[in-house]
Amino acid sequence: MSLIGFQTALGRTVRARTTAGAAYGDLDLTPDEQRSLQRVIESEGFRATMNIQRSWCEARAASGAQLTLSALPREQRRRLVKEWVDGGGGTNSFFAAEAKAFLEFIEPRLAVPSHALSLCRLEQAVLRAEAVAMGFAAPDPTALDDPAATLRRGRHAALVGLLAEPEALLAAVQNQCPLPALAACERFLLVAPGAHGLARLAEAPDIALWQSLGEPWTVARLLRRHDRDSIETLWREGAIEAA
Amino acid sequence: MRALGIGLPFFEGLPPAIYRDGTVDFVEITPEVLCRERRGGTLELMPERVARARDICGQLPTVVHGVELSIGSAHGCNAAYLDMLDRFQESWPFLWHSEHLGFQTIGEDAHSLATGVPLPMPATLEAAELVAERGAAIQRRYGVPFLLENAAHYLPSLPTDPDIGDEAGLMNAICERGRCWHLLDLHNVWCNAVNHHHDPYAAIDRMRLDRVREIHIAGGSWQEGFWMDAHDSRVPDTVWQLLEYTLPRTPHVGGVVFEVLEEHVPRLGAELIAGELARAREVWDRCRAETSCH
Repeated sequence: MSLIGFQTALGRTVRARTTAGAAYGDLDLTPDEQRSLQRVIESEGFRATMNIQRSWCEARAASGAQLTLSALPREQRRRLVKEWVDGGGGTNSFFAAEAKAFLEFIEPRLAVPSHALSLCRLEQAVLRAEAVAMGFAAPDPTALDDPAATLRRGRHAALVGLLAEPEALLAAVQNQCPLPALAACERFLLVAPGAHGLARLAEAPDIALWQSLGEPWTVARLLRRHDRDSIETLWREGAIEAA
Repeated sequence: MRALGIGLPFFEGLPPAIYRDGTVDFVEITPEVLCRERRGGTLELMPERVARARDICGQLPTVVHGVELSIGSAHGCNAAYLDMLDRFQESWPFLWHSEHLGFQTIGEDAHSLATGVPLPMPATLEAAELVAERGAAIQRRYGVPFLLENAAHYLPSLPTDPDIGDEAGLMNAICERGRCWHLLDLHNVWCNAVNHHHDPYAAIDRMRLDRVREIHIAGGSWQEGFWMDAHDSRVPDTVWQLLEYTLPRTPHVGGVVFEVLEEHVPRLGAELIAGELARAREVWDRCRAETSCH
């Protein structure tokens, strides 16, 4: 049996988590080779290998969405992870790439509104900020002295609304306590690569400035509505940047 | 090349003292844990994490133990890993470089798909030649010894060629053809002996022990009727006995590393890990002394 034939058959079968042999029916294998493969695939050892693969995939997925999954009932959590892994997810051994893909998968499957959805958006925002946080250096604020300079929302920043006091919600999730009731108004967290711990409570001036920058604005135009200190704070944190 | 002694993988979660107080003689770095994956599959080293690891490890000699190369994949091994390792070597030189003998990607429509778990190589001439050629190229690329680790696996009846024979024959053929070295994982030998019902000492006796450069010891656990290579516990007595048997027979061995998975480090604790390292040192010192007397 060719090496590529053996590996394709075995790899596909592990990924498909089947012992039926259907995963390699299109490969050019002799009847002897097919029987040889079938002996491997029908063994207890192959079942154990598939179970290891499944548990690793589930663990990889779950570790990337800990907050979101913790806010869900156990059965829904199990079903989402299973659906993701059944579809071939969980095989990427790099945390950020796996987490990003899994969070994108579960986001449209979460109730609107819900704490789980808010936390899913928060975890996605933290991943984006984290991706550049280590190399992030606060930019020089003198760039804001140019009134014609155009600013926009930071590409690695986000304003995430939570339907509860953030501290209370995060503590409930982390301690596996009952979640607070959904509040009528959102409390916002600003997530940015230069923010201490990547996220902080957003104050009213932060929120107003973020909302103004739905499209790029010049510094001169921003200063007509917002104070320089607020602009400079978000600029230093990477929450806003040059367009 | 000088023998280093007792080594430990780098774990951020352990007290840094374990890397500084003489408990270990060298550190085994898995560079992928200091990386993130960028769009398109490139691996980017995170300089701050590399700097922190170097700070913790101080002046300890360093060896690399990779997990993402997939050296046995017939469709091609992970070029992004090697590109990353080029950059890693520039910033943090290492004495040797090891990887796992196996494959964890398959090619589909010009894409590389991860299997999600490492899978074993068949003991065939084609497999031996492919890996030997790649191993030789890697050894030239980095200018340091390249080692391959024998795998633990649970699959019976893998394809074999008469000229190769079995897993020991496959490793021997690769080391001979590619001038590579062997990272002899004794816990993996033990796993395969238990799960495939053969004698681990006979397996070791069939290996080219003059090509062994590093030895791994680790613990495991029973699951589904198999002894799993779980790296979740102390080294079993049977593996200590294998170490006692093997060390005097490996004239070029440079070190023994106690492996444990990072997720189990908090539960096992620094004290237990230091205890296993102390026991490894006792065996190392005794066996090395016996070897030098003979």
